[in-house]
Amino acid sequence: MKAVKFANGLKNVITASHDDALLEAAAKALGHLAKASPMPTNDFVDFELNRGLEWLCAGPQYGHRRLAACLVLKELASCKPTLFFRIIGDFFERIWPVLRDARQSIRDAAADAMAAALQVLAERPSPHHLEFLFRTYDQVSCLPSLVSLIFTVRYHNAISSAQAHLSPILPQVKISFGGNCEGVHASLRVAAAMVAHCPDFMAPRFDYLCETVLSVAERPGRGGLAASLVRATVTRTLPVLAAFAPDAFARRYLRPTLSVLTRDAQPGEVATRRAQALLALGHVCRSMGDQLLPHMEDLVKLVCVCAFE
Amino acid sequence: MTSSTLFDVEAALKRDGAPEALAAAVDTAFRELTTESFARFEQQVLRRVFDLLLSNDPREKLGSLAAMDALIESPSGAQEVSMPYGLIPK
Repeated sequence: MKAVKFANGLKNVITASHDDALLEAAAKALGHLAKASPMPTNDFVDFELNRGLEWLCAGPQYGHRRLAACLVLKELASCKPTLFFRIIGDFFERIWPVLRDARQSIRDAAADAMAAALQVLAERPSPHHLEFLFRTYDQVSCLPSLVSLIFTVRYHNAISSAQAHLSPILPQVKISFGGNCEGVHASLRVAAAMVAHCPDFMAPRFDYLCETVLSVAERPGRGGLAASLVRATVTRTLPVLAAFAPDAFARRYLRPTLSVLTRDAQPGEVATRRAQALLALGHVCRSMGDQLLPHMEDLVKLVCVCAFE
Repeated sequence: MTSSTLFDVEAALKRDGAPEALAAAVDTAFRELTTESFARFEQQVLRRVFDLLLSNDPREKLGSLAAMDALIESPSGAQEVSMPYGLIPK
């Protein structure tokens, strides 16, 4: 009886709450209940899965529903993968608008749900799943392209320097810039999840992915939360790529990666960005091993500067 | 025993690690109390947890959710039954 009461309580919180922290805690407890409850849980898991699918289709104005759907589906994919697998086709159909949501917390939750779904697929290898992977990869590639991002970043910088003359068109460009960064952020998150969970599928696409991520990293843009978010996401993605294929990464992408990360770790940068860059440098170094020897001197100097400043 | 344990529970909810402390308290009560006493104790704990859930303070709601999460695997005095979702009276 306790489990049923808990399930009802959690359902009410998820239905009524607009608070991100509450939704996250309720989804976590729901996943735990689905996994560990002594009573059969298929009944309420089915209900929550169907409601999650329904709420994925909610409009952008119902952000709390989108967020709740992503959090619940992620937990159920991790805790009840067999039941989640039954709805995985619908999930891959409906997740994309949510991944392009304007709110970062919703995009992050959607990317986490996508990673959990890819993990479910990875545990059930089948040629039929290639359809999902190709569709996901196509969507990642279709999200606002790198070229448009770079163009908009440059345009934005130019406008910043001549703001007085171009103020009438500035709002329009800012909206475009924000939209692109949201798409790139989602693309990077999903690409990192695909690398982690679909290594065989991503191996032939590794070079393209590294080049794309480094191109974004070398042209980070200036100012704006969205540009900072893209930089932070790139910083988190580079260690994932380094760990995926250390030898291939070291041959072609280690030098530019170290260049990007050491630039972000310099004393003049924002403290949080430096911290992220140093952490990413550490992860990259652990993956590279001996390949790192030629760069050792510069890295040790940087670490000394950061540690004793 | 029951009232002092409840006092401990209330104190535990106010500090870090409270959910784990609550689950440990329920486990201890399950071992040390008779079946009837434990059922009453559990009922009081659950009532307190659901009161927190109905609170207007988001911190108390968060505390309630953390308590539920911790109690999921704790022993229960009532027999677990499978019921159609949403039909259980509050």
